[in-house]
Amino acid sequence: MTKEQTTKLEIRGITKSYGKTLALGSTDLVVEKGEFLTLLGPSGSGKTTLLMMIAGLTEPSGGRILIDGVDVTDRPSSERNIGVVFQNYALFPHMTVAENVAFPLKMRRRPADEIAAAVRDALAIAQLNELAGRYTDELSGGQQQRVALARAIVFRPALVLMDEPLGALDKRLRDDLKEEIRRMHRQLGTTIVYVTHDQDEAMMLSDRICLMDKAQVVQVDPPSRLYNAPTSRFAADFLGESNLLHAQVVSTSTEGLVLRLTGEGVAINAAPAPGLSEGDEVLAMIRPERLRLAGAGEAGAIPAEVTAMLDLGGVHRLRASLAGGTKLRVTLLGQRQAMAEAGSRIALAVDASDVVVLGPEAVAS
Amino acid sequence: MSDRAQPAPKPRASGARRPALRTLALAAPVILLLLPFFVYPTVSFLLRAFDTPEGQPWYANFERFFTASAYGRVLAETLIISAWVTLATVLVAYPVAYVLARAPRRSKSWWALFILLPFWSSFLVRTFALVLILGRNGPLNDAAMAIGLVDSPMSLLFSRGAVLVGMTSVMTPFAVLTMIGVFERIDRVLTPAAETLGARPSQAFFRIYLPLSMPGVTAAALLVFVTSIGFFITPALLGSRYETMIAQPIIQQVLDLGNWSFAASMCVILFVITIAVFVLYDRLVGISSLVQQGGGQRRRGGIGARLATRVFDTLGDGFAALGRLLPLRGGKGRGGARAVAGFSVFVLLVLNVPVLFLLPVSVTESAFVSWPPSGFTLQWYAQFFDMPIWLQGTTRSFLVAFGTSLLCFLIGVPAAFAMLRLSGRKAAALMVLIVSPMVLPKIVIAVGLFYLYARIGLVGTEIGLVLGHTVVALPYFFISLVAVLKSYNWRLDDAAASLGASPWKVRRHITLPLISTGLISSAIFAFVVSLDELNIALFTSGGLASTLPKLMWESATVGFTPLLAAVSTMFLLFLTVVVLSGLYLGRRR
Repeated sequence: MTKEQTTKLEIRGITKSYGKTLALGSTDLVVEKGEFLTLLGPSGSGKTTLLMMIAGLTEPSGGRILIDGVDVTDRPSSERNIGVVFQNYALFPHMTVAENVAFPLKMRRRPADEIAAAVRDALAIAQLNELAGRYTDELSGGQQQRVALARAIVFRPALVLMDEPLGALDKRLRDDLKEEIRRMHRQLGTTIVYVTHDQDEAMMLSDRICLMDKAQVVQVDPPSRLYNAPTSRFAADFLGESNLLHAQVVSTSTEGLVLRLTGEGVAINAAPAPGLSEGDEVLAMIRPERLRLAGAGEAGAIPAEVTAMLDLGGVHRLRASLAGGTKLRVTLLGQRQAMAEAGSRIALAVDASDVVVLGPEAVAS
Repeated sequence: MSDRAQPAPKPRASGARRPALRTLALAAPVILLLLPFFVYPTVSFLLRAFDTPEGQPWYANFERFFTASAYGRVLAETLIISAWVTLATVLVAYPVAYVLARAPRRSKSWWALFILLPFWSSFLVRTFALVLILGRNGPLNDAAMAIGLVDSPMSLLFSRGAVLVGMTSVMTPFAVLTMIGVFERIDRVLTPAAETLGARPSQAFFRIYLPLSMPGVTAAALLVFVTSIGFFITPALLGSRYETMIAQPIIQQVLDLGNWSFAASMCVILFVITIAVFVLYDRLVGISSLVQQGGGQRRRGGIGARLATRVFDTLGDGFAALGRLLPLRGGKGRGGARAVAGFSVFVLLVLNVPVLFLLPVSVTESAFVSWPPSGFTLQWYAQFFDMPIWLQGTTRSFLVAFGTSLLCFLIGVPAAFAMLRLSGRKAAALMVLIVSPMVLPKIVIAVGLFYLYARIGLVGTEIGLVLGHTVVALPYFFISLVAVLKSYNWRLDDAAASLGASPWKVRRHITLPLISTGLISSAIFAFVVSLDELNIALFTSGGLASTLPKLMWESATVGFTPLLAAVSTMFLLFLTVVVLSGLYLGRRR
């Protein structure tokens, strides 16, 4: 297959500004058929603006939007064939569950028997059969969410957009519905663009995450890559916990880099990073759980003092301080023998492949 | 469910051993005022309708009414005018309420201001302004002739059209305010949501927005209709003898002929029509949607609702099909929104601008009203201050208005607190008792009071006026105050109590300071209602004991003069200042 055929959604240089305020800087993005892509970012990062422009509810200031290779930028929302799940569901309160789900089919003038069958199927997928005759304000939040999902998929749209669909629900319900959305996605093979500010949600659901900040796309990658190889300080900071350590490149080779932590007499090895040379100021990013206790006599061990310790059962969370005052967060998994109490001295180690080096531009930001 | 509003905590019956008794004590003053000065006089007067001379059947008065073709025509005209006014008002008010409800926060307060100003400004003065504008040598004819639209002045006044325009312009702000509460509760995302599901803008409007807004529309239509059938100012000043409405012969029978029984029979007819309209409304829509507006859209499938849904769906699909045929989509469909906004601006202009024409007329040198005014003189203002009857009337109106807002305050505040403690039938009963003077024809209340006052010697007294005006102004005070109290966070009182404040200190240091601006603005609105009230004074004051609106009314029935324009201008200016300060305070809460 050529690339043309596997692309569902293509965004070319889309921007949006309100007067002098930039809501979304020029953005390019490609979503593949059947992909689950999440727009993740703090509020004001432009993720909802982007979603609403795809939905045709906000007019872009520039750029084009293509669905299945067709330019839909100038098409009204009603002709884009997109299913949208809104933040507070936007269910029609004067219609029953079944009438809500039938609405998009009625708008498409499908024959009555076809509508009935499609509504039945959609309600079955969303496990709502018993509630078909209820009015939507008689439903619980989770049930309303299911109706919104059913309504967005019943007409087999080219694309389903979801704007923080789980935002208004409590934690338990959120977890259940996350599973459900995953199941529906697999079952129907729909392409989904999903907006959230919750990183757990993004990590769990997405094929790829589009990380956004300050009206710009920061990084687009699969969740594990985004976590393990962030390309910016923001990405490293926003997703999960991280230690961001100021360092200087001491030497470079094909095997990797040697860094010296600023203010410490300690050198660590890092994976090779192109474009860096000796003397560059960099940030070394190390996830807390990638730090471990060094074996006896292990080369390159970092001496540290434990300043605080939290025993969370299977996990120990430490705060450690290096000789020069650099603070570290360390997460130790199931190492019962490692009784690193506050005040005790330990030696830490990290594999070179677990040290992500962010270039000088990250230091400046 | 997390996104459902929690029922607001209610004020607790702090320290009271018998909360029911305490609630009754709070509601007692209002009941003790309304029973003798609203319920009793109205009922006893209406019963006079069946008080027929010896040897005649109990229905003799009604027989006379329905056999004399003149009265039949008046009744028919009343219903026809009211129906047209209702239709026109709803059609004009809908787009305005729609724009107002969806306006961004910043421009919203301006929209609201230009609806509230005409709402609170004098009915009487606004009608005077129309007499001036539509007159043979008024600005409208002047302009039409200047641009060559017509050769000779058109007769715009003294026609059914003039009456309809006058009543519609008076009722529109009222209708907008009735609708806006419902419109604002419609989730803004619903129409875009419908569009993503394939609905064209017209379908999204007719299938989603319109059905959801219908409770507001029907409530507005109901209130406009029942208010319209009791009108007499507009038909008397803007209509010919063919546009006589039923309130006019009632006034005539009472004041000129002293025929209480026949007047009462006409009031009974007016009353029965009002009740019938309410019952019809209940059947078609459900009266509960009028009272508990927060209850969401209850469809409940009345025939009316189902029929309306059919019609709306068809309309929406029709417009959508039309849109498909005509290549109208190039402009991305924003044309409709702009047209609605433009129309709304036009409506606001029509509601607010006419009164401005009174100012130039009030300084004209000619002895009669003409356009354009000639020269400049303050003689008409001087004349006002030279005439004791005008000055006394003004003083009296102010005194009565002050007394009215004070009395509203004294009995309305406890009643509002009682209202918050009550629920279900008792709450509804209290609400109905207090609010019904607003929805019943005022003329019936006024004649009833006159009938009572004539027997107990309160005619022509300030006390009588204050009591009557309180009956009329209390609904406005009460509704405004209950709204303030409902939005008050009673947890603050609990917090203060938990911090050691006694119930009295809680009221003194927490509750009162927080609701004081709302209280004052409510009292100001009671003041304004009293100042502009004509019905009560029409019957229960007279001669040297008249109020300002009564003097203005009497003078206007003789003819519209520059002096009246001067009085109107001052009256309006004063009202505007008072209303603006009321709105300012109301917003600060």
